[in-house]
Amino acid sequence: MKKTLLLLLTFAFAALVSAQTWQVSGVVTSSDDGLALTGVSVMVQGVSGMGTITDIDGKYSVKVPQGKSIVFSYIGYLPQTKLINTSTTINVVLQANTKMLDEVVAIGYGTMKKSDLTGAVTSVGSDKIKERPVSGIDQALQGRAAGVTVNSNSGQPGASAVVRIRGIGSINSNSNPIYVVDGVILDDISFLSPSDIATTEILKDASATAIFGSRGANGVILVTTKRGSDNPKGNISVDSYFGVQNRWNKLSLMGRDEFAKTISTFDGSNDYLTQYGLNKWIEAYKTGTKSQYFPKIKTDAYPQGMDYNTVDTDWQDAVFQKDATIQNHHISIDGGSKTSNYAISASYFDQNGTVMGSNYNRFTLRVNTAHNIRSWLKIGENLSFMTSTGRNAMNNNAQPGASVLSAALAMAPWDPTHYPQGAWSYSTVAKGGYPQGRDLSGQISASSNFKNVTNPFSMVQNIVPKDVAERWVGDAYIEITPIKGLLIRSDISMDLANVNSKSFMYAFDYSSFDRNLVNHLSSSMAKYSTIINENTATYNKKIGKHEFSVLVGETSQEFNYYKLSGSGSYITNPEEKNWYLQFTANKPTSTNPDSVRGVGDEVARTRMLSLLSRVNYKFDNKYMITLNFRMDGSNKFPENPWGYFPSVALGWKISEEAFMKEIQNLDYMKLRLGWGQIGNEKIPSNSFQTNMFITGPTFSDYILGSTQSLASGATVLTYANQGGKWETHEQWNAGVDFGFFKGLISGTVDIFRKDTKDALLTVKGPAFAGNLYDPMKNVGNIRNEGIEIMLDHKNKIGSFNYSLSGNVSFIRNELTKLNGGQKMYNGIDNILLCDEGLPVNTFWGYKYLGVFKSDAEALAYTNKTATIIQPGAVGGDAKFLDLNGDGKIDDSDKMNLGNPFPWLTYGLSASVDYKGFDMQLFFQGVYGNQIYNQVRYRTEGKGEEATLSTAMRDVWTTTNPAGNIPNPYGSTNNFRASSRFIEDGAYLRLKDIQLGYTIPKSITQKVQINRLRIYVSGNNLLTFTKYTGYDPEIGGGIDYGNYPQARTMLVGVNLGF
Amino acid sequence: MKKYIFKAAFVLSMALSLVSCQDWITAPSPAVTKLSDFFASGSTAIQAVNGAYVPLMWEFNSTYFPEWFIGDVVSDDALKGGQSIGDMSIVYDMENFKTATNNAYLLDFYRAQYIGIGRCNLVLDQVPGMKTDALLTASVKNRVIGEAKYLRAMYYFRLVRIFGGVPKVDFVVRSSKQWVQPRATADSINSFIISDLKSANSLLWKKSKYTSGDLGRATKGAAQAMLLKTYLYTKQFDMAKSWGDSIINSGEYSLVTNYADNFTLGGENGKESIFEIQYMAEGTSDYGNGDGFTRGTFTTILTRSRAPKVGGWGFNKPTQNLYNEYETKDPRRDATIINPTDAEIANPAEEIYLGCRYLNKKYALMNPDSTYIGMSHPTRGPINNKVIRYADVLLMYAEACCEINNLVAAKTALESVRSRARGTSAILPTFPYGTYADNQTDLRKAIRHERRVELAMEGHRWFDLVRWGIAKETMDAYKATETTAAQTEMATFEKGKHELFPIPAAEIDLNPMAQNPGY
Repeated sequence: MKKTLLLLLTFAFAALVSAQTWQVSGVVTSSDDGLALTGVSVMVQGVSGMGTITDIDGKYSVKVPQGKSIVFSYIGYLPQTKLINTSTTINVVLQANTKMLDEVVAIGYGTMKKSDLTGAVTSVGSDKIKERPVSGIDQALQGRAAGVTVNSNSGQPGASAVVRIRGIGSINSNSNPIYVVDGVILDDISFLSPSDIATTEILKDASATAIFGSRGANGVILVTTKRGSDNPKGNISVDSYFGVQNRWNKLSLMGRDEFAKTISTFDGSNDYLTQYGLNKWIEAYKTGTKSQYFPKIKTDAYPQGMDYNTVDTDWQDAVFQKDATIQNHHISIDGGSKTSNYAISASYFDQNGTVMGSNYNRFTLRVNTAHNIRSWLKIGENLSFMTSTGRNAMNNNAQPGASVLSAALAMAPWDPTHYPQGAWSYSTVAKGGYPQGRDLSGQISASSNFKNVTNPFSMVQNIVPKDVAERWVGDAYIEITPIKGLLIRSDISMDLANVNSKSFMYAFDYSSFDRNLVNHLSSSMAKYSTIINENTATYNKKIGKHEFSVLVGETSQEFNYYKLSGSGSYITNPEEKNWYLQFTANKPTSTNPDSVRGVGDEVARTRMLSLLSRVNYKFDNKYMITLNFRMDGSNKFPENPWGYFPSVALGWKISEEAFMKEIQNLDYMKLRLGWGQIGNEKIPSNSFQTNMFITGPTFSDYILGSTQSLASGATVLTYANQGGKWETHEQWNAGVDFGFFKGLISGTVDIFRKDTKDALLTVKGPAFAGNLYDPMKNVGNIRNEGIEIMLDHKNKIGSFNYSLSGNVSFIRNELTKLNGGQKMYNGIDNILLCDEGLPVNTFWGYKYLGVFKSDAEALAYTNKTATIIQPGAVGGDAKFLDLNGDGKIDDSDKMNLGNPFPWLTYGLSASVDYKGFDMQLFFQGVYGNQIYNQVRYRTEGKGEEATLSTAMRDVWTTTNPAGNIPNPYGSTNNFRASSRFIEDGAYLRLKDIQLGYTIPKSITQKVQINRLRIYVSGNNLLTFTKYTGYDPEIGGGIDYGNYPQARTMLVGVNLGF
Repeated sequence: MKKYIFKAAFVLSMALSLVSCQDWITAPSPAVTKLSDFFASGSTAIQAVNGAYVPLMWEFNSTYFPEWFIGDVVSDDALKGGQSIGDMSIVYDMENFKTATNNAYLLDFYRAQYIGIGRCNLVLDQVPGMKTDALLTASVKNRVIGEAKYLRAMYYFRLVRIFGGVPKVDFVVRSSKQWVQPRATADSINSFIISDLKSANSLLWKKSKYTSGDLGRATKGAAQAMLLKTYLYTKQFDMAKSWGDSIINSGEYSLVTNYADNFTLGGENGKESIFEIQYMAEGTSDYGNGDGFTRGTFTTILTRSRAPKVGGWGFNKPTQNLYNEYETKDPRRDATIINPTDAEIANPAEEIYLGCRYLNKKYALMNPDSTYIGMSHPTRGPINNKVIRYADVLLMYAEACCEINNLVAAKTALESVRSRARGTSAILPTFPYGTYADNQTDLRKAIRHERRVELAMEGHRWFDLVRWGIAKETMDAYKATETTAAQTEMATFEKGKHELFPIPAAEIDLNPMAQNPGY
C-alpha cells in the first residue's frame, strides 16, 4: 500500500514537473576484485546522449527520465540494466564476461561479433602482446596462437621474426603474412610499439583472409591500436621497463693449450707442443708456411717478439657483452567527448645486443583521432611516426667472417684481441708481399692465424655503419551514412619510409686479409612509399530473423621505391663530422689513383587494382554464411593481370538448437566450414617481363679498339617465361568453437588443408634457353595441412583467480608436384632440397653411420656382392649408408634427413592473481624439426677454421682409434652434406615469467593514481633442448653461428591516472 | 527500386574504372627497357652484338675455367698444377680421365656457350628487320649480322669439339614450351657452323676496313680461318685448303718478326692476330655477384708462379715431355716455358707439382727482362686470349695441303712458320730435316710437331690430338715419360670414350638426351 502511494505520488510529481527525472548515483565495482571501475558507461536506455561514465572512484551520477532504464556497460564485463523508478543510489557489481563471445572483432573492412564469425580467426589480447620485452609484435606473437609459427630468427636487437601462418605456402615468393594496422595494409610492422596495440586478430583460413585478396594469401594479422574514449577527463598511462640481458649459452671450446696440443697431434705427428712449448710450436707451424700472420715470435734472438704463452683469449667472452641493457618507455593519453576522441602515445625502445657491435633504438609517436561531424558523417585519421637506428652484428650465413660471433669462433685462443704493446712487427716484406702481424702500440691484432677472417674487433671498430630509418604510416578516412544501414567509406593510406644508410670504413692494415688501405664512405638514401586508396560501401539490414551485410569496394595501390647512393674514398680528415661525400676525393691523383666518386640509383614500382565484395548472412542467429569474391589486377603478370578469387564459409551455432539445450554444462558451440581461393603475387616486379639489360659493364659490355676500352653492350639476361599468372592458394577449413561449465573451459579446434597451385617458382631452364638468371614459372603444387587446438581454462576460488591456456598446432607440409619444374637445392653444400613428395626445404644428404675405427673396418664395409662400398676409405674416415646397396656412395644414396620446419608448435601460459599479486608463466616450444649445425662443421674440423670444440677430445687419431669423430685430415667426404651435423631442433623454453604487484587503489588514489603495478620479469630463463649450438631458435634450419636469444631480467611499472 | 539503381550505377562505375585501369596496371615499369621497345635505332643493333661477344670472355661462374684447361691440361703439354692435386680437383679429374658427369666446370662452360648463342640468336632475330639509319648503314647492318653468325659458329664450335653433338638452337627461346630440344649430331652441328661461317664471310668486313676503335670485332679473315679450321676438323681437306688460300691471298695478315711479341700487350690485335678474346686492365674489374664476369682474365694469375714474390696460383704447368719436344735451341721454348732456378723456388712443396717445375710464360705477362708486369687488379689480367693466329692458319693450311698430297704448298707454309721462329740465325733447319724424310708421312709428322711447339700452351693441343685420332697412343706414350708421382694419378685413356667429355648430367636432367658413350 505504501508502495502504491509512493508510485501515485511519483506520477503526480512527474505530471507536475515537465522534465521529470530521477537522480541516480552510485558506485560501480568489479566482481573480480571488488575494486571500483573507472570509465564504465552509464547510459539511459533509448535516449541518445543521456548518460555518463564512472569517475576514478567508480562513482557516477546521472539523471534518468521516468520509466527509463540505465545500462551499465564496460568492456570485458556483462552489461547490466536497471529500471529506475526513483531517485536512488544504485551500486552495481559488474560480472566479468568470461564467455567474451560477443566481443566485436575486426575482420577487414568492417567488424563482426565474434560469435558470428565463420572463418578461422584467433585473437591475441594486448596483455599477451605486452608481456615480453620485444621490439615488435611479430616476436610477441610467438607461441600465442595456434597455427602461427614464429621463429625468432636472431637475437639481434631490432631483428624481425619469421612468421608463418599455416605453414609455408610458397617457395620462391615470399610467405610472410601481411599486417593491417587500423585498416592500413603493411608488409612490415616494425614501426609500431607493441604497447600501442589494443587487439590483434589473426586471420588464418581463406574465407577470413579473402577480403584482402592476394595480399592475404599467407594470412593476415589485423592490429587495432588503442582508440580514444569518450572520457573527457582522459586517461593517462605509463608503461616502463628496464632490464639487463646476458647470453644464456656458450659453446664448449678448447682453451689455448688444449687446442694447440690437439692440432699438433693430428696427422699422427708427435706432440711438438709439449716438447718445445707454444712459442716454438707456433714458430714451427709458421715455418711450415701455414700462416703469414704471426708477428715475430719471442725468442732469445728477438726478445721483443710476441710471447704467445701470455695469450689465452676466450673469444666468446671477448665478444659477448655482459648485462647489455634493454629499456622501453611508453606513455599514452586518450580521451574525448561524445563527438570526438583521441589517443596519443609516444614510446622509446632501446636495446643493446649481447654481442659486441649490435644495438637498436626506436622512437615512435602515434596519434589516432575520430570526429563525428554530423550524424551521417564521420572523419578520422591514424598517424604514426617512427625513427630508428641500429647496428647489426650478425648475418646467419656461410661466410666465416660474416658476423662478429662467427668471426670470433674463427680466431684462435693464442690470437690476442689486441697486440701487446711493443710487440715486434714486420713493417713490410718483399715487394709484392704483404705486411704480416704488425703492431707496436696495442692496436687490433691481425686476422686469425689460421683462417682469413677479419678480427671481430676490427669489424666493429673500423667499419662504422649508421642507418637511420624514418617512417610515416597513416591514413585518413571519411565515412558517410546516407541512409540507415548504409556506410560508405573512403580511405587513403600511406606508408612512407626513408632509410638513410651511411657506412664509413677507416683505413687500416692488420694483414693482407684484414685491411682497407684508404678510408671509404658509402652513403645512400632510399625512399619507399605505398599509397592505397580504398572505397567501400557496406549495407546492413535486419528483416525479421534475416540479418545481412553486403560489402562492395574497390582498392588501388601503388608501391614506389627509389634509392640514390654514392660512395667515395680518401677523406683527408676522417673525423665523423666529415663523413660526407663532399669530403671524398673526386679526381684521381698520383697518390690517390682510384679516387673517383661513384653514384647510382635504383627504382621500382608495382601497382595493383582490386574489386572486392562480401556478403554476410545470418538466419535466426543460428545459421551464418559468408561469401567473398575478389578480383585482383597486378602489373606483375603482363599477359594475365587479372585473377578471380571466390570463397564461401558456413557457420552454425549448434548450441542454439533446441536439441542441444539438453546437453548439460555446454555454454555454446559453433561449427564452421569454409573454402576459398586466394591469389599470390609476391614475386619481383618484372618476373614475367623480358627486359633488355643495358646497364653494363658487367654481363654486357665488351672490350674493343686498339686502346682497349669498354664498348657498351645490351642483351637479355633472362627471357621471362611467356604466360605467367597468379599463384592460387586454395584452402579448406573446418572448425568448432565451444565453451563448457559456465566459462570454465573454452576452446577452438580447426582442421585445414591448404593447397598452393601454380606456385611461382624460379626454375632453371636448359642451357640453350640462354638465360643468365633463372626465370619464373607457375609450376609447383604445395600442400599444407594441419590441426590447431586452443584451450582455455579460467577459474576463481575466492579472491584467487587463475587461468591456463594452451595452444598446439600440428602441420604437415609437402611439395606435392613440380609439374616439370626442377628440384631445387638451397643452403650450404645443397643440404636443403625442394622436391616432389618432400616437405619444402627438406634436409637431404647422406646418412652418417660413424667412424671407421681401422683400415680393416673400412675394407670390411661391403654390400651383398662383396663390393667395397667406400674404396679408399681408411681408419678415421666417416662411414655413410649405402642406401640402395649398389656398393658405392653416390647421389642416389642421399636421403631425407629431416625437416627444418617443426610439425608441432605449442605455447602454454598460466596466470594467477591474488589480492593484488599476479604472476604469469609462458612456455613455448617446437618439436619435430632438425637443425644443420654448420658451426660444428668448423669446430670439429682441422682447427684451421675455428677453435675446436671440446667434443674433439673424442676425435679419431692413430693414437685414439676408438675416437668417434672422423679424422679431419681424412677424406674430404667426412664433411659432406650428411646427417653428421644434423641435430634435433626441438626445444621447450620458459619464454617469460613475471611477478607483479598492484598497489591497492585505496593507497594510490590518494595521489590520484588509478593503477600502479610493479613487476619483475625474466625471459628465456629455462630452455630444454638437445641442440648443441648457441640457440635452437633459428631461422631457415641452418645454423652458421646465429645470434642467440638473450636471457633477460627486467623490472617494470604500469601506471595509470 | 532506388537501391537497385544505386547498385547498378555502382557496378557500372566499377566496370568503367576497370577498363581505364587496365592501362594503369600494365603501364611499363620505370627504368626498365622492354625487349619490344629496345631495337629502335641503329646503335641498339651494335650494342646487342657487343653483348654477344661477352660470354667468350667468361671464365664462368665462380670458377676460373678458361678453355685451355682442356686444350693444354688434358693433353700431354701440361699438368694441372696449382697448390696441390686437390686444388681445382675437378680439373684434375678431367686431366686424368676421371671426369664425372656432374663436373661443375664443364657444366658452367656448357651453359656459358649457350648464353652466347642466345645472344647471337637475339641479334639475328631482331636486327635483320631493322631499318637502316646514319649509324646502321647497310654495310654496318650486314657486319652486325655477320658478327652474330660468326660468334654463334664460335660458340657451337667450342661446344661440339668438347661435347660432340648438342641441341641445335637457332631461335630465341621465349617460352618454357620450347625447353625440350633434341640432341643434334656432331655432323649437323658442324654443317650448321659452316653455314653460319659462310654467311658471316660474305657479310663481315675485312680487318683493314675497321677503324682502330673497332679492332677486336670478328672479321672476314676470322670467318675464313674458322672455315679452314672446321673443314680441317671434319676432314674436308680440299675445302680447308681453299679457305686457307683465301686468307693467305687476302694480304691482310702476316707473321710478326719476333715470335714472343705475340704474347705482349703491345702485340695484341697485331698483324698476326686473326681473332682474340679481348681483355683489359681495370682495377675495379669485378666478379659480378661472384660469378666471375669481368673485363680481365684469370689466366695470368692462374698460370703465374706460386712463389710468394710472384703470388700466382701455378696452374697449367708445361710438362717435361713438351719441354723435350723443342728442337735444340728453338727460341720458342724459352718464350713458352719458364724453367725456374732452384733459388727462385721458395717453397718446393707448393711450387713443384708432381715433380713438374715448369711454368707457362705465354700468358704470365712478363717484361722482356723476365720480370713480371704488375696488374692493376689483384687477380684479373689484361692479356688477350689468342684464339687464332696467322701462324695457326699457316699450319692448318699446311696440314690441309699435306693431306691432299700438295706437299709443295704444305712445305712452303711450314717453312714460313719455321723461318719466322728461327729469326736470323740458322738454328731450325728447313724441311726435310732430322728424322723427317721428304715424304707425306714424315711431312705430316713434321707439321704436327711444328703445331705443338708453335702453338704450345695456347689451348690447341688436346683438340689436335683428338682430331688426328692419335690421342690414345700419344697419351699412353706421354704417360710413360711422366714422373712416378704424376703417373700414379693418371687413368688410362679409353678409345671411343675420352675423345669427348660428358654432357653435363644437370643438362640431361633438364633436357633429356643421350649421354656420350662410356659415361
